[in-house]
Amino acid sequence: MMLFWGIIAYFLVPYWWSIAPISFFAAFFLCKTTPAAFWSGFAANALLWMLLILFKTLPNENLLANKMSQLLFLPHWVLLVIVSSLIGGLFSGLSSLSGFLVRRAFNK
Amino acid sequence: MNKHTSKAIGAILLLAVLIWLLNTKYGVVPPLGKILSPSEGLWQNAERRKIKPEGSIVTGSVGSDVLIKYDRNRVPHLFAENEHDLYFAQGYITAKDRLWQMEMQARQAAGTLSEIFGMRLLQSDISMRRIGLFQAARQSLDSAMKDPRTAAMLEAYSEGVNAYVKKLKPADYPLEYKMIDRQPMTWKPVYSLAVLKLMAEKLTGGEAEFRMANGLEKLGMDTIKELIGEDSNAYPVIPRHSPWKFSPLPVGLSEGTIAGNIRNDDRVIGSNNWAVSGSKTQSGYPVLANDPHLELTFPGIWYQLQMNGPGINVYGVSIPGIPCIMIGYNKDIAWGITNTSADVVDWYRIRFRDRTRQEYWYDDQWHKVTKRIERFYPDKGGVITDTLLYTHQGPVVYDGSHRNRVYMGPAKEEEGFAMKWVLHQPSNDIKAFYFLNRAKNYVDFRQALTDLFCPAQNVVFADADKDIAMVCEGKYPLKYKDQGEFILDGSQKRDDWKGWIPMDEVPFTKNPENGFVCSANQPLTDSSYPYYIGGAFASEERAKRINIRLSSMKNINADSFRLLQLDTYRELAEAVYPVMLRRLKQSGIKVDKQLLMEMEGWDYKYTENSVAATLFDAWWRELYMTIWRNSLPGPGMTFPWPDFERTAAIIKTDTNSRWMDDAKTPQKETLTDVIASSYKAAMDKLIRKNGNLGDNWTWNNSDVKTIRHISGIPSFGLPGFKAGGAANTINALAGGFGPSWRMVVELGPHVRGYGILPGGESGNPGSFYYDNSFPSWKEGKLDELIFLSSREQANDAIIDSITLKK
Repeated sequence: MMLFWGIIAYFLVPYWWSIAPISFFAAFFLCKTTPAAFWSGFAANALLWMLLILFKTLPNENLLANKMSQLLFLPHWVLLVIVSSLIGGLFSGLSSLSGFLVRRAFNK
Repeated sequence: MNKHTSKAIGAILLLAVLIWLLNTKYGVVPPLGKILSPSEGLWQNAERRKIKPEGSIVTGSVGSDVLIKYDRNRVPHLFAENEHDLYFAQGYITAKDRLWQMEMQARQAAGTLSEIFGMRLLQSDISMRRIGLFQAARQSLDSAMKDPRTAAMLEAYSEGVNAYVKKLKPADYPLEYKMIDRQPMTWKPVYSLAVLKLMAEKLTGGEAEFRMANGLEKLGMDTIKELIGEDSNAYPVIPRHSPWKFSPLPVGLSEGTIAGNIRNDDRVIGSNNWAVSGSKTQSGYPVLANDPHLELTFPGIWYQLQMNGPGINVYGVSIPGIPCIMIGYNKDIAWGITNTSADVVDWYRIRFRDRTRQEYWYDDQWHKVTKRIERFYPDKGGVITDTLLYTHQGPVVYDGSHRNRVYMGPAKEEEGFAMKWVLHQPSNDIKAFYFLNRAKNYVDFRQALTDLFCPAQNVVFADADKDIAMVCEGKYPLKYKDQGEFILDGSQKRDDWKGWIPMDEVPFTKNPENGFVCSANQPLTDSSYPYYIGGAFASEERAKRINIRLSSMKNINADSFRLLQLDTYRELAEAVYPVMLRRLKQSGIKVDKQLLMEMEGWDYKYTENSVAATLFDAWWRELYMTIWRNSLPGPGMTFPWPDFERTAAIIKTDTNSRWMDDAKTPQKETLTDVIASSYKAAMDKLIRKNGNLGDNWTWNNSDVKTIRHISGIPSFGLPGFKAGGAANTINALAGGFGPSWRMVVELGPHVRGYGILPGGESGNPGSFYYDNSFPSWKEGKLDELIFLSSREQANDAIIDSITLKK
């Protein structure tokens, strides 16, 4: 579900953080516990970013990923994909956590 | 507020801070969230190997559709139906591949790099403004705008660049912009001229006068004369004893002070060009070659393209940011350029009335200084101003607040150094290229060149009418002999430039008897030429080799010239090495047998696997340094040390030269002593570096070649690759410099061009066309260039196309 909205967001609003409000409201309406809120938001966007990145870098034969990894002292391009995905997961997870906590604050 | 509410607020705050952090740049670290995201980040710059066809692009600014065909090297071939559309398309397509490079060049020329890189580039911006380069570009824009053709061309090009920039979403920005979190600037016609002036600055800017002033003050004129000696001038650009069919303008003062010029050794910026007439070729038509040696960068200085429109169909290389093709050919003619290295910059010592620098002394009275305020807006640095002073000679580049780093004389507050430079003259140089691109024969060619002022270039020419020619074209000041070798007296009228050498009296030769013309940055003429043109010419080594080879070559075709461009024969070695070896043996010091065998068997070529080249190069450098370090004061850069050619001449002829003696030792050293000691020192260094004689000693290990990314991003360049070639050989590939474009053109009823760039067409490090030509270039191959006769002509090499729509 969130993947679906994520892809929509990717094509409609091309800001890198545009998944954040989606994670927020998804968790606001759907999530039941604090850890679930964080991890579902995290996993959804980390996975989304990884897929979108692979979709770009594989046809590029990782030419650019290799050059950028070298620049960031990463020994392999795969690590750059992982680091990117973790960053994507982190703020999305934090966003869905916020969404869940806000609802709980309203509900008392 | 209860616990739940504060937790929720805390989480939201944390989220906001995290997003803000990931969206912000820290020093050289780009905004990480942004640049690593799939939607806006670096991943968007990762191009497919097989680029998706774009079909058509609506720009709204072309009069009729422009067809752009891409060949297998992704060279664009533009087909437009009017001039506006043609130059619009050139701007558009160049920006598409090279936007970052264009902005960097323009900013460097305009002195605005600090606006994006901050205070650390402020000094280089100030230096650039102080030499008046951008001001000169502004004035040349006025000239260009008065001519309807160049005005329309510059505006159309600019429109094209901006039409591309306007279409870009942040996700589409070239990667470098993302790395510094900036957006592309808007292009203006003045930037095109500024980039051209920047090129001229690289080729003509020079401060040899300050080194000469040091020499004069510390050593005296007699010693300087002795050190410089006399030029052999055996292989000038224009063949010796060429007739000069004009009566020269008078120049006044005619006595000269020194007989030679100081050469620029080890100069790595230089170029070759040559052409042979039909009598020497397989086809019976001329063949022409050109390889400009410049700093090797990714993306490279040149951008290849074909431009077709009404009255024009031309192929060649352009400089991103400047409309037209600079080196290339059409169906009738081909041309190529090398730098003349002529001295078109002079320095004047200015005496101000007092420390306020309001007035300066000239022609027996005080004159008002003109002031101009230059403003700088460095990133996070507020506004910084610099007051530039102008005398009638030009900008006072060095004064109390900005000292020249080379000049070692006394610093006086009331003193300054004004720069007089042909580059400051209002000119419309771009017009020369506009007409050159359309020229059909020798007459058109000469007419086109009359607008080329600066940088003065040796322009080689060949056409399908079987003419060949070489013209040392440019605006040269009319000077008395040796004027400007030293710092001139700014208070004396006699030291002003006396006018200009008329454009039809510049050195040139057409269809010379020997059947060929060639240039390699050597002196332009023999002493029979009636005007004085000094300069920091290159040594004659390359010129001599080219002359010798072209004299003997017959049945030439494109491949013969490809091989000649790869020639690594070192004339200096032929001249001086036998003497060095003979004296080494006489000296009686112990020489390793294996080394001796290598040295004696050398063919004087700097080929990739030559060990002998490594030995000679190291030994010669050591010898040269030993001689002059021990006998002249100061480090080499601030004194006019004799050049390699002169040093070799002293070694060969003046065996008892006083310069061999080390002034710091009590005994008197001889030439043999210096040769032996420098040999030993050089070999010790090589052993320390490479270990015992073996595979590590090959030339390609000694001189490792590099290609730098234009902004120095390490993994975007090539930190080290192995290849043959050396400075002062025809294949002048040395360190980070080398052939930035190799071209050979066979003229005839069906012109055929061959060429190669060291990198590729794209400036995007994420593109396969960023460095696709590198392997072939390194191996010395040339691609057959795809020169289409019309938009309809089919060719298997065309693999993609775009249409720019109304």
